[in-house]
Amino acid sequence: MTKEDLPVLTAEEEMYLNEPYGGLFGNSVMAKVVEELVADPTMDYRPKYLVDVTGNSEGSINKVLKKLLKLGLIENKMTGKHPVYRVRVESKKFAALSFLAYAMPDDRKGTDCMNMAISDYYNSVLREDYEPQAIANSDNWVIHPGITSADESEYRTISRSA
Amino acid sequence: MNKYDNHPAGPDPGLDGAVFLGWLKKRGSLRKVKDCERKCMENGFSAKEFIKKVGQEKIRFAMTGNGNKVIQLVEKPWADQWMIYYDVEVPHHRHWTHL
Repeated sequence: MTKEDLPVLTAEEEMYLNEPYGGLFGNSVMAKVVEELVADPTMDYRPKYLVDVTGNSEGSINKVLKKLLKLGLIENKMTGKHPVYRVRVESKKFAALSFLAYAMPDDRKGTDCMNMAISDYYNSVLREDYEPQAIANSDNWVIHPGITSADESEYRTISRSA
Repeated sequence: MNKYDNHPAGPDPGLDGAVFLGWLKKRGSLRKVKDCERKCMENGFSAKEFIKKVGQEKIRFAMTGNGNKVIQLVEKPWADQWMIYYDVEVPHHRHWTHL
């Protein structure tokens, strides 16, 4: 396909190209780094890589990484002389920022990406805690005042297999 | 892989492809080609080859008004389903390392 055959973006689509979180937090170094990290939490990041992809200076990237470490969104480890950073996927901030990333185009285009992500998150992370009755099928179970069982070991066994 | 989901319909992007789709989706489903190529290279494949493999009706090349090439995710439900299948939609536990 030649360049001339390619579909051309609308002015609105083009407006959001390279705008972290659709421009919600401006175009600061912090916004750019957070967007990059949250977009792929499977990767280990070196400061040099973030300098390359954001176009910002090493000093400003290091400052942002230090702040994000303090806030608990990322963790680091040393590989030789160089630090490597990775997203703490267990952080609730990471989940919330992921949902926000999906929400921005959803609001513009009427898509349903954020709800789909929330539904998946609920099913895979929260459901077992919030719907214990779905797995409580024995007369031994007492729903109030807390979720308890006459046999705690039975609860754990059933929970894991649900 | 998410044990709760069945094998989704459409071309299988693979785990690395699903990670790329997630990255693109969280960037508004639209990035410059050079950014996408750099990202795909990190995972050992080419964005151009990936698009060829899954089809332009799913993810395609497009152009800005001033002639810059971009990559645009077109079929978001397809991407969502495979991202959920590979557990990369909002991963909540670490089961990979790229070092």
